[in-house]
Formats: sequence, C-alpha cells, structure tokens
Amino acid sequence: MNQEWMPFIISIKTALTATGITFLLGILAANKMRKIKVKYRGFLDSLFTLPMVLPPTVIGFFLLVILGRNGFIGKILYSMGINVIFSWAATVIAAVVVSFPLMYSTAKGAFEQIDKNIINAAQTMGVSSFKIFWKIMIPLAWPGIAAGTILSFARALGEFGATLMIAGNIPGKTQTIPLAIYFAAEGGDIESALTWVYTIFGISLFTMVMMNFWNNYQRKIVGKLKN
Amino acid sequence: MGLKVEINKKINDFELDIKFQVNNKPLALLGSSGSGKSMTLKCIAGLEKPDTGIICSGEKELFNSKKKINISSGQRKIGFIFQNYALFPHMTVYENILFGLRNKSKEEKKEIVYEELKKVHMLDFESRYPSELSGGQQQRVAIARALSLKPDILLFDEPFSALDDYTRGLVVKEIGETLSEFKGSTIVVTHNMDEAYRLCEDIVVINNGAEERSGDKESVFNNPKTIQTARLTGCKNIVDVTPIDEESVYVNDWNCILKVLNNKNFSKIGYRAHYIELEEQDKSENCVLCRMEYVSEGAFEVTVYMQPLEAFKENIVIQCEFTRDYWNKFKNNENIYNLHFDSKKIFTL
Repeated sequence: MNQEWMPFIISIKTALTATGITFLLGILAANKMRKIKVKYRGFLDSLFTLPMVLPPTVIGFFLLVILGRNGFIGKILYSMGINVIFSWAATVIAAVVVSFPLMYSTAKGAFEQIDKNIINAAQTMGVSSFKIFWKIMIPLAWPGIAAGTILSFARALGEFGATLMIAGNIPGKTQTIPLAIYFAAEGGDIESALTWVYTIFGISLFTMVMMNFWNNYQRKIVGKLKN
Repeated sequence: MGLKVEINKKINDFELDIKFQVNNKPLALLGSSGSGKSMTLKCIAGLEKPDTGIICSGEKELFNSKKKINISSGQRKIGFIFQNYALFPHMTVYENILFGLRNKSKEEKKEIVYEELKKVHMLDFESRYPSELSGGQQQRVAIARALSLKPDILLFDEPFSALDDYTRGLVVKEIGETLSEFKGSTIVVTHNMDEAYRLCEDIVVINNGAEERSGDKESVFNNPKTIQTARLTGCKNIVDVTPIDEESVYVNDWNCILKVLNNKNFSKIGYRAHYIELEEQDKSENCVLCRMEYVSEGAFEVTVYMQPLEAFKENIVIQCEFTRDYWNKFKNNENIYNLHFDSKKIFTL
C-alpha cells in the first residue's frame, strides 16, 4: 500500500520544494532585472524565459551534460562525492528549471505594473532599497506573484521529459506521478495509470480554480488601487 | 540656502544642457512638453544622473561629475511632489507619511505625522486610503509627506495639471501658503504660464534642453525676448517684421507699419491678444483695419480672429481676447474693426 502511494508523495515533495526555490529565485531575478543596464537586459531576459519554449527533453539533455559526471558543474559535485543524476534532487532541479520562467516573467510583469513614481517617491524619502522591495514592491505586486506561484506549482507538478532524463524513473525515489502514468500505461497497467491521471486532473483543476480566484482578486485590488 | 544647477545629459538625440540658480523665492521652470524640464527635476532629485555638471544645495555639493560626487537621492533632503502624487496605494494617509520617518521614537513620529496633516487640513482623513481621496486631497497628503522629512529643497512636477478648475483654485491657495512658509528652495515645473506666475517669483524658461530666458516673472512676462518665451507666456500674435527706421517696422503679413519702442536688431514682434484694443475707424496710428473672421465665445472671454484688410494673402490671423462686455460694446454688423496696438506693449523678438 505504501509503495503504491510513493509517486504521489514524491510528486508533492518535488513540486513543493521546486516551487519554493522557484518562488525565491524568480522574485529575486525579476527584481534584479530592474537594475541591470538596458543593453544586457534583452539577453538575460531571453535566457531566463528560454526554458519555457524549449522542449523538456532538450532541457533534460542540457542538464545531463552540465550535471553529469563529466559536466561543467557535475565534475565539481562528483569530486565532493555528490552525484545528482538519478537522485531525488534531480527531480527538483528539473522542476525548478522548467517552472522558473513562469515565476520570473509573472513577477517581472507584476513589478513593472507598479507606478515608477511610487518607487521614485520612496527613494527621495530616503527609504532603503530593502524596505522599498519588502514594504512597497512585494505588497503591490502580490496578486501577480501569487498567480505566478500557482502556475509554477502546476508546471513543476506536471514535469516529465527533463525529469525522465536526469532523474530517471526509479520507483520510490524519483518516480513522480507523470512518470508513473507513462510507465504504467506502457506496461499495460491501465488501472494504475487511470488512478494517477484522475489524481493529477484533480490537483490541476484545483490549481486552475485557485488561479481564477487570484485573478479576480487581483482585478479587484488593482481596480481599488488604481482608483 | 540657494540651489545651483549646471548639468549636461545626452539621451539619444536630445541634449539637456542647462544652468540656473534658485534663491529663496520659488522658481518656475517653464517649458513645453519634451523641453527637458522633468528630466532636470529628476537630476536634481538624484533619480537620474547627469553626464557632467554640478548640483549644489547651499554649500553642500549633491553632484559633481569632476569630483565624482553623487549623493544618493535619499540623502539629498529633497521633497518631490509628483504629477500623480505617487502616494502608496496600499497604505493609509497616516502610514504614507509615517513611512519615511526614522531615527525617532514612536511618539515623536506620531506627533510629526499629525503636525503635518494639520498643516494641510487633512487630519480627519488619516485612516483613509489614497483611492478614497480626491485629487486635491491626495496632493495635500503628498505635500505633507514630503514636508515631514524637513527637506531643504521642494520640487513640484506640474502640480495643477490633473486638477479641475475649482480644485485648482483651492490648491493654488494651499501650495501658495506652503511655499510662503517653506524656508528652503522651491522649483515648480510647469508648461502653464498662469501656474508659474501665481506660485513663483522667478522664472526660467527652458526650451530644447537649454535655458532660454530667466528673470523675475514681471520682466519675463513683459519682455520675453525670445519667440519660445513669448509663446510659453501666452503671446498669441508673433509675426515677421522688416525694420524701417529707428522707431517703426513693417509687418510683412499684415502689410502695415507699426511704431515700436525698441531699436535693437530683431526680426519678429509679438503682441498679446489681451492687449489689443478696438478703435474708431478713422484712427490710423498703430492701427490695423481688419475683417472679423471668426468668433469663439468662452464663458467669460471672447476670442476674435481678425483678417487684416490690407494683407496680401488670405488666412492671416490676428487673435484678440476681449471680455464679453467689451466685445458686446464694440461689435457691429459690417464686421470691420480697427485694431490698435500700443507701441509700449509690442515685444521685439
């Protein structure tokens, strides 16, 4: 019984961890972009949003090359005795890479919507950058950031291609629900596959409902603020 | 406590190259859109960085490109009132003013907030959110917020542009009172001559990134010296002329001769629409016979567009502004009028 529930537990652990990391990285990256010189901005922006358009297997391939034993980062990790390939950490890494662009672009959009004069006013008042970020930008961008978080969670949950390539399909360790569905269907175990499909369907539906709720909430807040 | 500004900044094709000084009297930075006035303000506030130059507040150098001094915006002790007020929408009026206060006890902060709110007559609104306030009220909170930090310099960016007529009248009084009590230097950026005249004593006219005319408001208004200054101060009639002798000029488009007082080299003259008088048709000195082309009736004033009879071309327009009573007294059915130009009031440009 416990073994059968593992994909669910792994998926939730992976998705929550990945969303947490993406949340922090995405917001920080979006905030830093404001201060980067205009000529570099275009390139960095494209780099950050690239994983959104690349096929997951391409992403998986790049991650394999970088994190593998002979890879750029993999070499360093290996010398420290760490091998991420085919570990649970790899499921998180894959999920973070594919969900990051969503969080980043949503947060960036939310920050850009803030009236620049408000930030200028706070600057002339001598308020520290940190206080401006924490007490003005985050609260005003919050509806957008929340929406971005929910989208990232959904994407992290549904990740398949890159996960398969760097984490593999190891039951009880790296087999997330999407992987379980694929391999169950491949092996003819339609019943299991269907169970997981319904599970993901339920979670995704719930996620979309939350998205709509946030969208409407955001419209109300922005409407009130813009007044 | 003066403010000295001498900066240069190139943005794409536009070059800001301006030099002026603010004394203890409020100064209006008068210019049309795109003239560089808002950019100048932002440079003074430290929100933008000039390429070269000096900005000095009293003895303190806020910016000096040669000495590599560039004090951060927050340290410049500047109060900036933005065109759209820029209140923090997710905070109450009280919290908005509280936000910038630091290095004080909770009690002291509270006292300061109430003191500033009282000065702008907004004490009753402390728990309201900006979205619940009218434009004029928001502006008062913005002023209170800026003053709470005891700035040395106050900068206003087009303070009246977003307000309706009635509110404008109230706000003129508010800002006027604030400025008379404020001990530091004040700059009001505007494209509206009326705003500039009412609030300030000195005017700097900025055009294409450079200062074109500066002085106290009376001399700038009565003697604009440049075409753009004449336009910005509301002069509606600017025409090319050919000098005839020391006293008179020939107005090319109007085909007539006018006596002027200024003998220096000039190629144009300007005359304010409000100063044109209507004379009996037999008078000829400094008079131009015209046919009325179009009348635009305002609520209190009437704008009349006249075509000089002697002009060689059609569509030559002299714009006149009369009060309703004056116009009603003089208007006739033949639609021919004799316009008189007082030589003392003719600008040479």
